[in-house]
Amino acid sequence: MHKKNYSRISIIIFVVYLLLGFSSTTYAVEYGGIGGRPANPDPANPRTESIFVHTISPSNTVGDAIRLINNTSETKTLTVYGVDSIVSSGGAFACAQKADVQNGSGSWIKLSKSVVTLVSLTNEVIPFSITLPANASVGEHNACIVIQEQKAEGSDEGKTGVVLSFRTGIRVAILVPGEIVRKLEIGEVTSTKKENGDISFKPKVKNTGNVSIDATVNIIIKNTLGIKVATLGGQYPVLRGEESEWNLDFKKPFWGGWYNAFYTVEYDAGVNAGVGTKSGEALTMLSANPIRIFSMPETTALVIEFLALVLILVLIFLAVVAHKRSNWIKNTWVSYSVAEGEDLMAIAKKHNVSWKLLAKVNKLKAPYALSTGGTISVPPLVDQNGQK
Amino acid sequence: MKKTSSYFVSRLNIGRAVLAVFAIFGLLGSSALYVYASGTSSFSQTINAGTLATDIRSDATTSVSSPAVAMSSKTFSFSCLSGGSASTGTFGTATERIYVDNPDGADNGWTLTLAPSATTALWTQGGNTFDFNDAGGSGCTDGGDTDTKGGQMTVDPSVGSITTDYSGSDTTGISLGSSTAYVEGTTNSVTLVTAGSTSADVWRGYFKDISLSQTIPAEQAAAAYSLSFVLTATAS
Repeated sequence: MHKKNYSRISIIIFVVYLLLGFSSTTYAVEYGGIGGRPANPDPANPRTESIFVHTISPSNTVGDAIRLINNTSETKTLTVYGVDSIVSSGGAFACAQKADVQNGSGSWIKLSKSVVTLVSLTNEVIPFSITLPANASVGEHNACIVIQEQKAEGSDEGKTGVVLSFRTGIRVAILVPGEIVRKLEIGEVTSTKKENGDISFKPKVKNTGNVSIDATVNIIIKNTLGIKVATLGGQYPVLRGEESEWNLDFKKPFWGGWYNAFYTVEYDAGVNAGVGTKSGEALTMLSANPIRIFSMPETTALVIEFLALVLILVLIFLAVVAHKRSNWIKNTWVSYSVAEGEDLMAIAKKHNVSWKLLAKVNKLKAPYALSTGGTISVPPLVDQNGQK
Repeated sequence: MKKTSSYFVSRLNIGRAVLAVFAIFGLLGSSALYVYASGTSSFSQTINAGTLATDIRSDATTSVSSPAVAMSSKTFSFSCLSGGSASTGTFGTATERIYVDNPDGADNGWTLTLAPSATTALWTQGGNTFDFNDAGGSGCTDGGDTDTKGGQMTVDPSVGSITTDYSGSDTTGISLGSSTAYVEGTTNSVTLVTAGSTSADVWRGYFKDISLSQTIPAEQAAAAYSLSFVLTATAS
């Protein structure tokens, strides 16, 4: 009998424990995307955590590996392939399409696998080699290793309009040693006003060397008092032989007004600098002529500014009146002897002036009593024709 | 010992005890488990490496399985449909957002570009085709490219918007591209977004309202055309 009860209690406790265990706080697993990253980054070059950077002489081969990643919630079959790099609009780095003919540095890459199936939240390292042709020119060559989900056959059938696919590319920067030229030329900067009132700056810079250069592009906005109100830009790669441009938006300033925009480009011109490495030399700074821009204030700011302007004008007006009055009193007022029975009001009326002004000028206090024969300052008498 | 056990056996109201256990553990919540776990001498935990990725997601941040951008329909015309008459579309909407995840996968910046699956691709429906990258006659006629079709597409990212979707990050160093028309051999890819090295190493956000405009040549056959585009996020 006792044994039976013990068993029941044990079962109940066990069930309760299980229930509590499964009802505890749980956190949703956050999934990501598919892609990859370098499997063997060089600790001396942090840039190699994101992209591949190699120095290879013509006819030589270098091995490396890419870690393919599936951080989605599903098993994915990925295709991985090397393609040429292309210059996208604005001089940005981009990867050529797989269907296009690869006759550049993309064809130098040979991956050990081209199709990989990864279950959710797993990764796999895929070795590859880069073999340079004998005639590879000195300087930097760029390619891409691209990871793309393999689509089921016919999955896009029946769709109309723009049908989309997605992929992740990793830049492969290959330096062929030799006479390296690192040179940028600063271009013009233009500004356009956007529909929402923001001002978009478009600075340009051209790379006339034979390697890509990480350029720090800045637009510094100063107000008319010379105070810096914003710094736009950042560091971007400018590919060899290409002109790059960016759209840097300056949020419409609440108070509006005139601003000066100073465009500068800073880069490491030392020949020992590379992708992700510095030469140790002082940076080269280029600057363009500043441009002047005007921004309309926000409506609220406009009302406040209008009221402030009116206030200032009124104050100026009052200051001018006070100055003129001071001169008038100083230069024209005369001494006047108070007749019997005259009070301040009567004298003020007689001299066509405010009794309060008379009291103030003569430093009279309430009740403003005047003694007969006493003298006070008054404006000169003026007849009907304005003659004194 | 025997007394205690017999007390529980004879007196304990098991129903109430169960309720009491639920109540106590319920109040303590998951901490009760953590207390239990503290008896374990070693932990192990794996955080998988992140990767730069792009995708179309809904406003509930779930991946849209078959995203497509519908261009505005046009009626057969004897004239070229260009400028204000061109077919238009919006890439990135409230329910189909263009997402980029950068979970420390591209520390020195990245680009997001849009290009057709091949530079020689065409808008196609059956045997009917027209071009997306022919600058001839401002996109109205066949120019000097490899095909014999007119038509040109313009993408204007500058009218779009950037929204961060990750607490603590902002849009510093991330800029939208300029309005650009595809030209075969010259402009095969349009930059939608550029993120420089000053952008956050760990960033997630989305883009909307990128304008698309397609010039349609005169007398183009009526049909429901499609063209495959590839959205690429590249660590640069």
